[in-house]
Amino acid sequence: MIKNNRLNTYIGLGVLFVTVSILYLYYNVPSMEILQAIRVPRYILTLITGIVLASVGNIYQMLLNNPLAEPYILGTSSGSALFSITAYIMGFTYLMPLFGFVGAVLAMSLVWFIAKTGSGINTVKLILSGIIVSMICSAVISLYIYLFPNQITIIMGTLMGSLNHVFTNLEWQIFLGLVALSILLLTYLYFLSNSLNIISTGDITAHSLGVDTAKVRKQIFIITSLLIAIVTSYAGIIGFVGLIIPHIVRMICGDNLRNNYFITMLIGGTFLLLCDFVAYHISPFGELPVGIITTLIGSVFFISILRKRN
Amino acid sequence: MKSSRLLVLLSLIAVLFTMGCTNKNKQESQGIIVTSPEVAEIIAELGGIDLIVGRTKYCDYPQAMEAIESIGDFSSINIESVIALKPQIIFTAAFEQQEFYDKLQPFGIEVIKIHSSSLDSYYENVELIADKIGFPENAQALINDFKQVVDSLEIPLHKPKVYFEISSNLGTVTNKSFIGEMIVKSGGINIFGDVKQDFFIAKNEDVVQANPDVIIALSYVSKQEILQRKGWQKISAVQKNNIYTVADINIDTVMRTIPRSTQAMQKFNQWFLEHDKE
Repeated sequence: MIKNNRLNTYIGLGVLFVTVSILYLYYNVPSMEILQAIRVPRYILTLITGIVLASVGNIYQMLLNNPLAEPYILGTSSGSALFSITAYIMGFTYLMPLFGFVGAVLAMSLVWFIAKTGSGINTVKLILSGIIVSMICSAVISLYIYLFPNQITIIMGTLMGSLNHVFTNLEWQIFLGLVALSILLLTYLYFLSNSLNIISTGDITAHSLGVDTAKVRKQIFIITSLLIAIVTSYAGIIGFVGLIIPHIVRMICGDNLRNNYFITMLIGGTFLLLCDFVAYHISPFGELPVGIITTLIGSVFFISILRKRN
Repeated sequence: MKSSRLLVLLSLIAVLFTMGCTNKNKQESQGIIVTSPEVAEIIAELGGIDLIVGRTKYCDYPQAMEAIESIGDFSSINIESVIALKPQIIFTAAFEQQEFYDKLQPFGIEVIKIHSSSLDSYYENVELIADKIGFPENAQALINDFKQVVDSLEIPLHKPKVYFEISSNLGTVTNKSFIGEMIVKSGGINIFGDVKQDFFIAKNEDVVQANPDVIIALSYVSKQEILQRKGWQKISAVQKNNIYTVADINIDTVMRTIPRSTQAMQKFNQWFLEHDKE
């Protein structure tokens, strides 16, 4: 019976995903060339961003035992934003994603360096060092806003998150490589999900069951940071998806990471596609920042689920 | 006991110092402070550069400006040094400096906000500034010179469709902005001219679909980068290499609303005519 229910959930979500994808790609499309050269790249960027944010949010909430954890909590994204804005201010617009990636990796190393203890890593210390690194980066970004008020459009674009990255042909090849890498990393994380399930019951239990908690935490930290680095360097900081989607998923299909892993990916991707679709078409000209839509649609959806469960 | 004596001594020294400071600037100053680079240029062109006693870092044209004391950045102005200069009038830019404006009101300094959103408002502002600084007779000549250049522009037979990029996330302008008006007066058709907002972020596919004949990208991206943008090879401007970047024009003449704006319009006009010949 339970199996049957889960199958139904998968089918329902699958149909929803396909519908949203078709809408996203074909709604009002002016020509096939535009579909292929502009909409498909944006579709892939949006999809992978949604998938990564939701999955990493889900994993962080379990790893850190904190329902308020989100993909940006460990400082990676702030490092990314800081460095890509720096690239822009220095005049290297085309290097923004590369700088973003480097910034994320540097922020990640700094967080790790601060949080590292003799025996491994302590989650409270990890969250605190993540917050400290984020604060340092935000302070420097504020300084930029103060010093370069003329550059505010791009700075705000990075901070609010936007999926309207204009790819050059070469950049697109690199991005496809990064997407492939992300899929590999996400698959690897899936195989760690059993260990993570055990870790979330407490270190003592985990040790007695033969899980090397320090090693698993380290691996997860590095892999998730890389994933967030890839996504934020192209899409900036898109809020809400990584925080709320995991909660919705757990309400639908329970706490077991192994069971909800793919559903998280599916819902995360579909949700961001839907939000970006609205942000893209709602205004008679231009587009809205997608972060506004994710928060608006997401909150309404979340409240309704919360009420139903009561 | 000892420490209280030290305290009295220190406060005495402090009082003496403050007296020394306040006594300094007793004489009445009649100067002007400009915080807007645009107004600084207009005042200089009107022949009033000697009246300026303070400016911001970005008021950098003409060269003689650099000898004048700087009172800070465009958005972060040192209010104390402003008051110390005892100006009669301060010219500010419209939006960014509202806070500054509010702070200076109580000191009895006249704060004038200048923002030219169109050619007509530019002409009005030149007259206003000339009036306020006491050179009303010079305004007409400056305006006439400007109008003469605008009228002399040769409108191309086939007006090119123009995409103007202001930031690399495809931020662009419409006919409601001063830059938009410059494009129209120089004989171009802005592909986003009709949008009911002066500035907005365009959709990538809309730019490609509009198929502009000329691209003016002052967003600090290179020409090479625009040529390589995915899907843009279809655009006529990209195929014919009609792309102009910050390397091709003095960006201040485009971004500021100043007497030198005519130089930008002449450049635009020259580019649009070149397209017409093809």
